[in-house]
Amino acid sequence: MEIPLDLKLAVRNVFRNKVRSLITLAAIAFGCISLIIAGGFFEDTFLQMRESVIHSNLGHIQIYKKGYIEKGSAKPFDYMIENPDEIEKLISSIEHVELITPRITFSGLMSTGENTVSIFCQGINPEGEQAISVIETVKGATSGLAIEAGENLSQNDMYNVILGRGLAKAMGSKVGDFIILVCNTVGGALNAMDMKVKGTFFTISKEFDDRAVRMPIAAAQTLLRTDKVQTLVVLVDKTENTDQVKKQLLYLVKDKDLELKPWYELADFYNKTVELYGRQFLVLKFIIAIIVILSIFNTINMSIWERTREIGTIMALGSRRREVLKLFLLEGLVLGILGGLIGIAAGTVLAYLISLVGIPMPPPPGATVGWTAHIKIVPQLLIASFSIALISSLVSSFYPAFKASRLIIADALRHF
Amino acid sequence: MDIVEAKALTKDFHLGKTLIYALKGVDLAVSEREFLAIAGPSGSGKSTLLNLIGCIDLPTSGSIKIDGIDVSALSSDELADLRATKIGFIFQMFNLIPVLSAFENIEYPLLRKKIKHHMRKEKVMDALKNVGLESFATHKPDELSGGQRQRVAIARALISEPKIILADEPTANLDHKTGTAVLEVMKKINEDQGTVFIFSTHDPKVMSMASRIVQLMDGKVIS
Repeated sequence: MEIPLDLKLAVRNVFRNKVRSLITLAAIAFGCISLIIAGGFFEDTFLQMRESVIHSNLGHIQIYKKGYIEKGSAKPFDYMIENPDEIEKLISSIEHVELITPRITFSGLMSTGENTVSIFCQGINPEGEQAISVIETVKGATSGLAIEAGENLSQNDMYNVILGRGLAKAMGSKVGDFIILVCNTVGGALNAMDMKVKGTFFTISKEFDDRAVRMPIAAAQTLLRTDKVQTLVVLVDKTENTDQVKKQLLYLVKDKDLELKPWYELADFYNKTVELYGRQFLVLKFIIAIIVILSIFNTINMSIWERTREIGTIMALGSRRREVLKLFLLEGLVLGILGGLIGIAAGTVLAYLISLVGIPMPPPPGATVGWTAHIKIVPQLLIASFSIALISSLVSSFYPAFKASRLIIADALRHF
Repeated sequence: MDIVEAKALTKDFHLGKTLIYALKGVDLAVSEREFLAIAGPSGSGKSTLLNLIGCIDLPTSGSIKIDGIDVSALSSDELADLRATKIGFIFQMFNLIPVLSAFENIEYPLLRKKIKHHMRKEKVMDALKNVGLESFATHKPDELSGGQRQRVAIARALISEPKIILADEPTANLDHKTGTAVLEVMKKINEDQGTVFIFSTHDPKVMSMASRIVQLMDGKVIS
C-alpha cells in the first residue's frame, strides 16, 4: 500500500529539526510515564489496602439478622442469627464462596487487676479467621492479621485470647498473663471470665489494634450466655467476584429474615482514601495534559514560523486552507502518537523494574505497619495516557495550524 | 481571447504607518502562447503584479480575468482550485519542499487530482525527463545544484498542465550560464506546448528572449 504523501510529509517534517522534536517527544513521553507510574502506584496502593481491609477483619460479605444494620449498634443482642449451621450449609454451595465463619462482637471491660479499660471483643472461629487473614492476591502482602508475639488462637482453645498490640502495650499484658473480661450477658446480667493471653496481633488498622480482643466463639457464647451468633462472614475466592456472590446470596436468603453488606459498604476509610487519591490523580492528569499541550504548541508554532514560505508555496500550488490545516494537525498527531507510544513502552518497562525492587512505604494514616508498594500495570491506564497524549497533541497543534492556514499567500512567500 | 486580462489594477500596502502604492492602475492583456517579460527596477511593482495575476494576493481595486474567469468573485477554495488547474509558479528561491525528493516535489500538485497511481508515476518521470533530471528523482533539494533545483521547480509548475506559468525573477539566484539554460528550458516548453510564461526580470539578456516586454516603473506600465 502506498503511504499518503501528506503523512510522509508530516513524518519527515517532524524529524526535520531532530533536537526540537526529540525534546517534544520526551515531554510527551515523560507525561505518559508519569501517568503510568503514578496511576500504577495508586492502583497498587488501593489494591493492597483493599485486600488488607478485607483480610484483616471485614471479609468479603457479612450476613446479619434483619434489622441489625439499622439498630444493631444500640441493641446488638436483639439481632442474633439463631441457626448459623443451617445457613452455612445453604450458602457454602455458592460458586466462588471459600468459607463462612461466625462471629459475635460485643464491648466490655478488660482488667489486669491494676488497670481496666473498655474493649471491643470478637468471638471467632480460629480456623475460619485464619483462612480469612491470608492474602494471596497481592504480591508482597501475606496476612491481614499478623501475630506479633505468642501464637494465634487454635481450634482447641477455650479460655484463651489474643490482644491487639496497642491494647497489650497499653495494659502491659504479655503472653501468658491472665486477664479478666467483664461484660453484660445477652439477658443483661453482669458476667466475668478469666482468660489467658495467648498472643498479640496487628492489622492495617491502628484503631482496631488499640481496642480489639479476640477469643474463641464458644468462650464468647459462654460469657454472653447465648448459643446464637451475630454475624456470618463470607470469604470469596477473588474480591472481584464479590458482587456475583452477593447476588446469589440475596436470592438464597431472601426468605430467611437476613440482610447483608459487602466489604465496600463497610470499608469507609478505604472508600474515602480511594476518592481522595482519585481526585489528586485527576489533578495530575490535568497538569500533564497542560505540559504536553504547551510543548507541542511551542514546537508546531516554531515550525510554522520557520516554514512560512513553504506554506505559501504549497498554497500557491493550489492547496486549500483546509489542507494546510490538515497537514499541521497531522504533524501534531504524529508527535502525539510517537510520544505516546514511547511513553507507554518506557512507562511499562519502568513500572516493571520498580516493582522488581518495590518501594518501602511508611504506615498510612491510622495504620500500624508500612508496606512495600509496587507499580501495577493497568491496561486502562495505558490507554488513558496514550489518549491524553493524542488528544492534547491535536488540541495544541490546532491553533498554530489554523493560523498557518489563514496566511496571505503573497505575504507568506515573502517571509524569510 | 486573452488568457490574462487585468484592468485598472491598483494595490496599496501599509508599511508601518506609511501607505505604499505598489500598483497605480495597471492594464495588461496577455494572449495565448506569449513568453512575456515584465521588466523594471526593484520596487516598480513587478512582483505585486505577478502575485495578483497568480491569485495569491488581492488587488485594492481593478479586475483580473484568468482564462475568462473573473477572480474577484471567487472564494478562497475556488481560488486554490483555479491555481491548481490553470496556474503554475516558479520562484526566485525555487521554493521546493526540502523534505521531499525531486520526484515527490513534482508529484505534490498531482496528489489533489484523481489520477491513478501508475499514471501519476509515469507523468512525474516524463516531467523529470523533460527537464533532464531523470537520474535525480530521489535526490532531496539540498542535494541538487541551483540550476537543477530550478528545473525541478519548472517540472513541478508544469505537471498539472497549467495554461499560465508565472515566474518571479526565475534566474536571479542562478549564474548566467545556468540562468540561460533554465530560460531555454522554459522557452522550449512555451514553443512545444504553448504554455504562457509571464516572468519578471531586470536582466537584459533574459529580456531579449521574451516575445514581448512590459516595462513597469513606479507601479505603472510605461511601455
